[in-house]
Amino acid sequence: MTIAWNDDVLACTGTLTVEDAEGLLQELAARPMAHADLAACSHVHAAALQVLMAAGVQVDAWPADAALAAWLRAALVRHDAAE
Amino acid sequence: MNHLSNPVLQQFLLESRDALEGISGSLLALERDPGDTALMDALFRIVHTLKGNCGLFDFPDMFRVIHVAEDLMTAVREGRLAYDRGMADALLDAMDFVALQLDGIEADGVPGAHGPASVQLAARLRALSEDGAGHAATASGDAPEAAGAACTDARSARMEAALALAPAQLRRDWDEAAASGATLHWVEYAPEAECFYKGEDPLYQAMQLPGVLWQRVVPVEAWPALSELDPYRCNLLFQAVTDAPRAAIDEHFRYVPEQVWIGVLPTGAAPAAEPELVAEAFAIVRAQGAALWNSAGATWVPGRLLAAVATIRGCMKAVGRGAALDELERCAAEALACGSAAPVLSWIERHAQGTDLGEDGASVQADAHEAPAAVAPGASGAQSGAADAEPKFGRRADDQGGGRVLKVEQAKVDRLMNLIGEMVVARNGLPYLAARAEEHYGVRDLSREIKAQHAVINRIVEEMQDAIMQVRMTPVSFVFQRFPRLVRDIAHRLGKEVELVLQGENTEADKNVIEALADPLVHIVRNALDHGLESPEKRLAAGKPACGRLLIAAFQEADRVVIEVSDDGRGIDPAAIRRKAYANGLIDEAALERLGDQESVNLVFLPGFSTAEQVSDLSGRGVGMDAVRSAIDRLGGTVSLASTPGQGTRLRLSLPLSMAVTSVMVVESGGMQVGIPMEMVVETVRIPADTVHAIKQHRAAVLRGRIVPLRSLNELLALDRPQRHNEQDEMATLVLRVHGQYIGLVIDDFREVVEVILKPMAGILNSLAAYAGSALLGDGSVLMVINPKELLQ
Repeated sequence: MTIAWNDDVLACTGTLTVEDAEGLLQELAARPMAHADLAACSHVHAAALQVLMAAGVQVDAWPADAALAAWLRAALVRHDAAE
Repeated sequence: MNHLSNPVLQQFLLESRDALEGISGSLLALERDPGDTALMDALFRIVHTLKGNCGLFDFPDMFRVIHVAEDLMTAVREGRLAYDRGMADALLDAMDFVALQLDGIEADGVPGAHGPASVQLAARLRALSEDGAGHAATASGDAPEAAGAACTDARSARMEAALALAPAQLRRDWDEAAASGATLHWVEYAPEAECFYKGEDPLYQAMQLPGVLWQRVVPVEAWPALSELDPYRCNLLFQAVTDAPRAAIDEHFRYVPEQVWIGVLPTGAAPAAEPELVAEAFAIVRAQGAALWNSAGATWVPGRLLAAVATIRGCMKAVGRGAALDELERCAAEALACGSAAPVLSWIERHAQGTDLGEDGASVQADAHEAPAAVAPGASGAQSGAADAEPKFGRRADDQGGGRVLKVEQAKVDRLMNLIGEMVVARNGLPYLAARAEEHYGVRDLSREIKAQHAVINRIVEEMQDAIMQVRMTPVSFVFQRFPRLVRDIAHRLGKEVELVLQGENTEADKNVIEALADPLVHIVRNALDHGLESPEKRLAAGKPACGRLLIAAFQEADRVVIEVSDDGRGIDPAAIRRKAYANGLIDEAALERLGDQESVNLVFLPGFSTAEQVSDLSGRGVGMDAVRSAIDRLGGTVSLASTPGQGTRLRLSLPLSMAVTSVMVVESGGMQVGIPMEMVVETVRIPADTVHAIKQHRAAVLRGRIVPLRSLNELLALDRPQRHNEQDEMATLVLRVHGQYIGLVIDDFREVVEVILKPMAGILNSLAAYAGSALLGDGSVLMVINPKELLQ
């Protein structure tokens, strides 16, 4: 996976693997109120997902894969006014 | 090569190979002690993990075999079947099959077409597991229902609560579908907390669930502050409504039935309240949650808590969601007991958050939700308060204590080693620079400073070298672990009884040395089993126990690692070896008379030697001990063989611990400089030309009462010029020890001893056996290092 910060927006590409969870956690801990752009994500491992959930990340863009997007929305869409 | 760029697949291959090693080790241990339940449990766990990992990919053949193997082990574990040798054979074959598939995956990215073989194997395993058990493990369907009724109640309450959050339109659709005869199912999937360590990806598992109409993912316990979150403890609960048939759902979750609860979706319970009202009520509930977050550590928590719970209770009742209130009461009681709001917060997370209310509800809770996220850091006090009552929260801090082992690709370590090698070369350049500063530029002070700097860099480089050597050190168990299986199989095939004893498995040496040892050792062990050990009848007749003993021991001796393979078999008969060697034309008649017993035994190292009366599939093809010796030679090692007829044979391999840094003596010959490995050099002497004797075409000199044959390096390298003598007409000679014999190598002059990183010859030069490799010297020139063993043959 590659992640890049663009201001406070975290852009993830490829697969967020189980190994990425730890790094992701550290990145997010350092930046509260982060947003995420998951448009280029092909899969998110559950471990990474729970990091995103716990961090309360607001997702700006969802993956192209419909099934993945649906599950991620179910987990991550809380009450985003932006949605 | 695309497939190997997939890190998940790579990880899978790595872990699976580890798992296979563990499995075959456990299987063999179980054969010795079938009653060891701890061992059986460990074995079962590894197989289960392997299967879980395998399920992530589309490898149906492999999966089929592991699955049936697991069923068989379940039967054994539950005491329905007794473990025996036939079962061990079948399971070992199954693991071999998996290894074969892994090889295929590694080579081409696909496991290869072994469909029929896998079906056959699976049938064989299934036949074994059905032997003793009428109704084998078909637990997938009924197990969830068998769970306690109370548990089911809590789950159905959770279902009702969660369903209340589904958009009204969807709920009406579901009711219509139900009315027209379709059965919708509610699936709640609660992966176990440790599932990530088993290679499972619950999200992927959930995503693959067929026919999902609506889904929700919520935390099991309220999220702790980020600093206390353990990302590798699964805290997720997956819920979904699906129109897939029950059988398909069971099939989908067949490996984790205990983690899944499936219920039939209740019908006719169309949403009673207006969606806006529901949204508003939930906003209030969440606001209570936000307030409780803020109350971290305060003394008035109980009062605040009661007020919040009362508010929530009122809201939930108002919108007809009373179902979840029982659980709320329990959480509240728990919260009061431990003086922390955490249980109630987690209830709010589960029941009032993570809902997709659509456009209409969005505006209401925007601010209500921001609050908890914003105060999250401050809330850590409340969380650590909860840690006393709920030890799981504090786990992460404990976990950090243990050191983690990093698995690194060998290529990365090799690269590091190459870089350090170049560093050594660069360091070696500094003395040259210092000398130039002084001699060429006449700046003595600068020269001195360069030398001081050289000392500093030298120290660091040596430490780096040492560190990388430590990384590359591998225990011999890497090679040894295959022997229990190998010995067992061969012994069975030969009808012999063998007890294998391994010693010093933790002895370490460089990875390259250990890896290169594997093949020669297998050869030696096969030889010992085939030729060394006798059949049980013969052993009993000779007054020995029927079960032979094969000892493989490793230990360190100075800077070398020694491996001894000894058996208590029939030993080697020197006279028989002599006769055989003579019959094969390997020695002449004179040698037949002259050779002593030890020398005769060493004849087995000659190429083309074989004592076997007939060629078996194990050994006796004439590619035997000479192959072993040349392999060990290549590693810079030595082999020796000792045998007592009737009592056994001992083979001793002595190898360098590391091959990375080689000491070579630089000598001059024919106008160029070449390197000779120091390990072979016994002494350096200058021999007066007039003391050299000529015996036939060969020259020899007497050194310390011993005749040493002399060979000229120029001649050996086919350089067309005579060896240079010094002013006193003496010949510079290196006395080398090659295969236990002394040989004098005549050169032009000695230079110095340097430590170099020896690079093997690459490409077409690789076939030049006379050279061991090349090395870069500090002044940038290339030094060719010769391999005297080959050159002097």
